[in-house]
Amino acid sequence: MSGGVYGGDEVGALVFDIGSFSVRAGYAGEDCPKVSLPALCPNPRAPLQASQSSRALSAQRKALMSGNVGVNPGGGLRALQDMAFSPVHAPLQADFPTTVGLLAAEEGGGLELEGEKEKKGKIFHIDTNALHVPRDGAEVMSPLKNGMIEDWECFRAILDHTYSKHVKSEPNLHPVLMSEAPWNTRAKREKLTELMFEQYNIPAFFLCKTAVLTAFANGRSTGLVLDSGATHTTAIPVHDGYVLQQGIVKSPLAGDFISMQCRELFQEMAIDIIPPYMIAAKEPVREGAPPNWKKKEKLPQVSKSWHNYMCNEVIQDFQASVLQVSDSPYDEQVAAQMPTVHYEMPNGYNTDYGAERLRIPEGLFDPSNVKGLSGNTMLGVGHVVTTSIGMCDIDIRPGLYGSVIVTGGNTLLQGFTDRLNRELSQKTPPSMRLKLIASNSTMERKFSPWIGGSILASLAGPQRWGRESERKKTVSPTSALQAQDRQPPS
Amino acid sequence: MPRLGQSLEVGGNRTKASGVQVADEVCRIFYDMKVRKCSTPEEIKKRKKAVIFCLSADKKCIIVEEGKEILVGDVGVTITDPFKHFVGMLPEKDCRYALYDASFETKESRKEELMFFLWAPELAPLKSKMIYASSKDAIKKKFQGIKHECQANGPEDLNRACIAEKLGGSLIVAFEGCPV
Repeated sequence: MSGGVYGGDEVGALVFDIGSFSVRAGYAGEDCPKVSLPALCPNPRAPLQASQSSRALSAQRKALMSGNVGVNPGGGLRALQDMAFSPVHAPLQADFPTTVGLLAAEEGGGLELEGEKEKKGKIFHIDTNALHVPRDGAEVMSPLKNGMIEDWECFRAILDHTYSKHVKSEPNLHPVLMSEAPWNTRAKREKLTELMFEQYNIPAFFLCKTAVLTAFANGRSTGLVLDSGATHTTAIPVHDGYVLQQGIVKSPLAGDFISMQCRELFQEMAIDIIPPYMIAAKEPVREGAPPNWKKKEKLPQVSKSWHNYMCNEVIQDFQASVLQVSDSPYDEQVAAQMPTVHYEMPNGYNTDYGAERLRIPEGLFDPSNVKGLSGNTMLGVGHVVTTSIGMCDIDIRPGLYGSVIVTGGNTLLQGFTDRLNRELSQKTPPSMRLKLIASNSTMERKFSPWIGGSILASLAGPQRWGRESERKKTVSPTSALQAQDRQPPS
Repeated sequence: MPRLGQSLEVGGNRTKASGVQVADEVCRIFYDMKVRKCSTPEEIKKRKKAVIFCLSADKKCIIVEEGKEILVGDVGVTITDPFKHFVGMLPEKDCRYALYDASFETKESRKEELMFFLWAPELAPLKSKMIYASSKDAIKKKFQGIKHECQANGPEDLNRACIAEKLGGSLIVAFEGCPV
């Protein structure tokens, strides 16, 4: 390698794991001591801790608004409790929504407030604090589509924000390890590399597929990674550190799908979803009674997309706290016997939820009865796994069935892994052993690619990563691209 | 146009980012185990039946773990079940690499072949699992010609039936002298 020797040991590497739901970023670290999380803060305007997810924040708000911390054992507090008791393996500087607010400014220039990044007349409102402020006409958007970067301007704004507000350091000082979707295209990979080197001048760069990081973080170089997040549920076979592209199976039935189903439920039950931003005050009401709340005066004219996003946050909290996956295929009578869970909406309306708790997530495993799904061509989670393994060479299938790694925020739904285990046990060929690996830690399930990347980056690695000097050397483009796209040895 | 060759690794499917080195002694031991020179009975006794490798304290190098080996000469003398003894040498809460010289029988013949193990139990710390899994490539590269590789994540992956399966499936009639 030409160019100066890179002193990789002195400066910390940065790890970025950018998903459709949230952006995870931070310094690469070792297995570090557990982060001590703050006790519930009585001040509703407390500054957002960078390590809190938006769900935890809304849980805090909910607890505060109900006036009594103990009132919702099954409610939003669970998210917070999860965070308080899960061991954190590495210091995650930033964990904020990927969705950003977008305001098309009429004139360029103007005060740059916290979380606002101005790009060519567009103002992006990034991070929970900025995103949650109701503004006239602000839309929401995501820079990602299908797990890959689509809107580069928005993506750059997010990176800028992360560097200035969370990392608090200059980009050119830190080598970067970034995760990418296993199906990321060559063109996007090139463009991202170009962006990082030319716009941010980073000293070294490494892209790693999320599935591979997850597999490694579970002590395996071969396995089937089942990643169920916000936008899709995917099965990715990894063999010997390679992703087997031909075996990747994707389904859109994931967190966002469940949120939509919840929305429909609330419509059926005639429950209004009132996000906290609209509420000025509320009174406690009896269970099932109509809510008694006062709307904030002088609310700006928010756009539908922004309002919907705020409602989705409420729904996501409900989803995480109340829903449960039945451990055998859904049965109306069995579901009716299940204990109910009490949940309170931000506007004070509170009630018990029974059979619906189980009915909604059933769509993940058995989409045949779901209303609104056209043609019933959707695969349930169990089928996603078996189809994926079925598309791989028969010789490696035992290795895949023997290491099914469950990851992704959506898999934290209560009962998800038990049900998946049951379904796969029935579908596994008799000669093969099934083993499901699912971390008990919420952090690990949600952040395993980041944690894996963090450990990888903290090894002696950065000295061997790609440099700008190598990137500039021209080699015949065809041969270079051919080398990169070569098939893994079978 | 970015150069997307081996050293840049951008978009490369193979993850070599860990940068861990392999000690020369590791390679030497592998070579000795692989090559069967005509040797005196004394030399045969000193040959290794099983060896365990670990990461150095600074996590930068793969080295031989002191005292964790089984010599061919021990088998039948101090050790009756070499494979069981080998499994017993693996730590419960940490990862390791290992080479095991397996002797087995098919209907037609008797064979002795080397097996490479990645041992990553569930109880091992995440950091350990990550380092060992991502550096496996580095050590395997030095072990050219190994036919059998086993990824073991718990004692249940290391029972005789599983190993026999890896070695040749239904063709195997005996492993380490005992029928399967």
